[in-house]
Amino acid sequence: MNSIWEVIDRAETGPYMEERDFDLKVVAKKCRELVKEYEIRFDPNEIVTTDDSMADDVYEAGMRLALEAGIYCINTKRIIKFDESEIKEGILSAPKELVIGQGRDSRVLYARGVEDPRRAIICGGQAGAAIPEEWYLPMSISYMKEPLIDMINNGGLAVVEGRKVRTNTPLEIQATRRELTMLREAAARAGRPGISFIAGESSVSVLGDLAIASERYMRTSDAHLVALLNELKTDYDRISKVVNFTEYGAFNVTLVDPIIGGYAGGPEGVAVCFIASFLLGRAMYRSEYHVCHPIHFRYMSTSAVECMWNLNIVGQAMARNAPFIIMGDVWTSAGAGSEMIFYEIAANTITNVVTGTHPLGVSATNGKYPHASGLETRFMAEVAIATVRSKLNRKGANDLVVKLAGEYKDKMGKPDIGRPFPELYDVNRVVPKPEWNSLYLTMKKKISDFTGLEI
Amino acid sequence: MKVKDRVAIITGAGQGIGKAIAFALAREGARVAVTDISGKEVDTAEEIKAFGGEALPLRLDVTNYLGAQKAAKKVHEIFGRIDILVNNAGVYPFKSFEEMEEADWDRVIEINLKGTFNCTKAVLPYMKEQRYGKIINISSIAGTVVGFPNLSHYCASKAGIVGFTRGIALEVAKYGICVNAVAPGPIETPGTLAEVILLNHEEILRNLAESVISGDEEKAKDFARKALEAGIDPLRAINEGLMRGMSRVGDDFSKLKIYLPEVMMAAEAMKAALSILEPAALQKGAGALKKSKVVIGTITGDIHDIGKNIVAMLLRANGFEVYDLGRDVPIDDLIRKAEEVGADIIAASTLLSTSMPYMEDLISLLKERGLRDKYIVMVGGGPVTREWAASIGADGYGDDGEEAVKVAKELLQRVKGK
Repeated sequence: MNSIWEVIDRAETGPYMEERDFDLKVVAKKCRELVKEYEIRFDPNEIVTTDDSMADDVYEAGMRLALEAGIYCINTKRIIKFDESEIKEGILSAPKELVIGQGRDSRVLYARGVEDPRRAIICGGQAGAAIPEEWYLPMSISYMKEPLIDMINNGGLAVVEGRKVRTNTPLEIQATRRELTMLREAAARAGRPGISFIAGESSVSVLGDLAIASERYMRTSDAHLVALLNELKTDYDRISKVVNFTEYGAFNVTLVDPIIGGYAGGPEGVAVCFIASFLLGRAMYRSEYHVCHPIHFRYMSTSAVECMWNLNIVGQAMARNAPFIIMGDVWTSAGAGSEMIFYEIAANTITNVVTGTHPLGVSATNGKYPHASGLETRFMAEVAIATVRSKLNRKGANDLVVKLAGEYKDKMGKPDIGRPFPELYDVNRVVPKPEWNSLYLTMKKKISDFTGLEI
Repeated sequence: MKVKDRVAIITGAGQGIGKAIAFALAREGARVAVTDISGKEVDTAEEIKAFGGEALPLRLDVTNYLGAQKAAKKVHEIFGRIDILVNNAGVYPFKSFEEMEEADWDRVIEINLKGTFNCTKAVLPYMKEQRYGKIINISSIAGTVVGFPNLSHYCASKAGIVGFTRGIALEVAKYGICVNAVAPGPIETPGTLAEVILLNHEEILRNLAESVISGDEEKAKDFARKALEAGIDPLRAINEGLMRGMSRVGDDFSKLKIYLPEVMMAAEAMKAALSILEPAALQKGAGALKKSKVVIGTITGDIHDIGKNIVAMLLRANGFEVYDLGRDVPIDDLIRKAEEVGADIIAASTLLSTSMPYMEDLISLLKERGLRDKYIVMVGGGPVTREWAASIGADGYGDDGEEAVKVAKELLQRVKGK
C-alpha cells in the first residue's frame, strides 16, 4: 500500500517532464485519444444520461488516463505515478460510509448510487466565496439554522480585523482561524454544535491549514478541501495540507475541478479527466471523500449544461464502478434574491441527486459576490428531498433538467446577480426579510408547478 | 514543309497557347485564320503579317454554332480550303466547387467543350469534301491525368474533349480526317500566369491560415517560406494568412468547438511562421509590424493559471505580443518585464480572493514609481469583479477571455491611440 511517504518520495524521484509537455502531450493528447477510442459523446439534450455503457466507458477511459498520466508535481516537475494495484487498492479501501460531525448533529455520509432512494446529505454554504468579515457570522448561522442542511461548507475571509488578507502572509493564519472561530460560534448559536464542517477556505496556501489542526478550530469529524490542480497536478502546498490533516486525523477531501474547454478538452474529455482525478486523488491524498466541480470556461457555473452532464456521467461512472463518497457542487451564475437562481438550483440538484452525488452549495454568483444566504440552500435541500421522494429516474430527471436549463441557459452570460446577504436577511435575527421570503415561496410554487415535483 | 500552304483555323488565338500555335503554323508556311472573341485576334494577325506570314483575323464566339459556321465559310471563301482546325479556345476561372454556381459551370463547358463541338461541326463538311483534314483539340492534363482543385468544371471539360476526340476520330477517319487531342500540363501564358500567381498567393495564404488552425508548426513554417518565395508581402502573409487563421481559432474556441490545447498549438504554429515572416517584414520597413505588447501573469500567491493561459492565448490570437510570466508572479517581476519590453498593458489574474490585494499593490507600486500612466492595467479571474477592478483603479476588467481581448483593444485605442 502506498502512503503519503511514498507520494513524497515519488514527487522527488518520478519521471521528469516539462509542465507544458505534461499539459499538451500527456493530458490533452490522451484525453482526446480516449474520447475518440471510447466514442464518448455529449448531447445537450441528454444532460442526465441513461446509457450505462457510456458511464462504464467513461470510467474505463478514466482509469487508463490515471495509469498513463499520473499526477504532475509542479514544484519538482516530476510525475507521481501509481500502478493499477495501488489505484485499485485505493478504490477498495475508500470509505463507503463515513460518520461526520458530532453528537446529534452527526450524519452518515455515504457513497450515493444511481437513482439512489436514500435522502441525499445536504452541504450548505457559499463555498469558494470571499465573505465580508462583518457578515460571516450571521451568514453562517443562516445556513446552520436550516434543519435540512446536514453539514457546512461556507466561504473564506478576504479581510480580517479590517486588514486585507494576502496569500502566504501571516494574515492568512489569522483569517483561517477567524473563519473557524466564527463557524464554531455560528454552530453554537444555531444550536448545531456538532455540525460537520468542510472548512479552512481562507487557507489558500498551507499556512492557514497548519494553524487550524486543533480541536479549538477543526475537529477530527470535520474536513478540509485539498485540490487537484488543473489538470492532474499537485504541489507541495497541497501535499503539505494532506500530511497535516492525515496526522491530525481529520478528513481529507479531494476537490476536483477540471475546466471544460481547458487541457482535457470538451465535456467528454473532462469527464475522463474527472475519473482519473478521483482515482489518483484517492491514491495520492487518501481522501475520504471527494467534491465534483466541473468548471465551464466561460460561465464557471456547475449549472451550465455541459457541467451538469459531467456531474451526471461522472457520478454514474463512479457509482457503478468505484463507489466513492462524492459531493456535487451547485454553483449558480445568478445570485440570491433573483428568480433565475431557483431554476439553476433545481436543475443542478436534480442532476446530482439522481446520478450519485450529494449536493453542495449554493455558491451563488459562483462565489464572486456574497449574494447568498441559507434560504436558497433550503430550496436546494427541498428539491433534493422531493427528487428522491418522487422516485425520479434518470429519464424523468433528464426531461426536467433540460426543461429547467432552457429557462436560464441563455442568461448565463449576463445573470441577475441578486443582492448581498444583509439586503436579504435581517442580520440580527438571522431570518429572511419578507421580500426575499416571499420570492422564495413564489418560486418554490412556480418550480413545483413547472416540474411536477412536490417541493 | 508539311504545313506549307495548308489552311489552318486556330480558335482562341488572341493570346497564350492559341497565339503561339498560330505563330508556329504561320512560321511553317501555313495560312492561318486566327479567331478570338476578344478582339486580340487582330493583333495576332498583324504580328504574323509583320514577319511575313499570312493571317486572317476573325472575331469568333465558339459557343455560337452559327458563328462558327460563318467563320468556316469565310475562311473557305478566302483561302479555298480548310486543312487544319485547332480547337484551342478555352477558359479556366478558378473557383472552388462550393463557390461554383451553375452559370460558372455552364460557361466553361460551353466554351471549352461545346465550342470544340461547334467548330468541328462547322469545318467538317469542307474537310470531308477535301477528304483531308487535321483536327487538333487542346485538352489538358487537368481532368485526364490529374485533378486540379478549384477547376472541377475545367477538368470536366478537358476530359470531355478527350472523350469527344476518341469518338469522332473513329467516325471521320474514313474521310481522311485525323482527329487528335493534346493534353499539355500547365503552360505559363498571360491568362494562366495571372491566375496561377493569384492562385498561388491565395493558396499560400489559405495554407498559412490552415496551418495555424490545425496547429501544424512544420506546415506553418513551410508556407511562410513559400509566401516569401512567391513574393507575397510578409505583412500580407501575416495579416491575411496567420491572423486570419488565429481569428478563426479564437472564434471556434469561444464557441467551444475547440479547446485550450488546440489554441495553444495554433499559437505555436503561428509563432513558428512569424519567426520567418517577421524578419522579412522588418527588412521591408521596421515598425510595420509593431504590435501592442502585453505582460501577463497569475499574480503572487496563486498558482491557478488556466484562465490566465486562455486570456494570453486569445490576446495572441488577436495580434498582441504577449509576454506570459506564468503563475505566482511577484508584482515587481510584472513591472520589470513591462519596462524591459516596453509593454502597453500589464495584465494580472487570480482565482484567489487572498491574492486580489496584490493587484492593488501592483497599481500602488506603479504609482509610487511614477509609472502608472505608462501602462494600462487589466485584472481578472474568478473572484475579481468589475466593481472591484474599478475600485482599485485598474483600467480594465474582463469577465472572460473574449471580453478581456475586447477591453484591451478598446483601451489601447482610447488611452494610447493605437
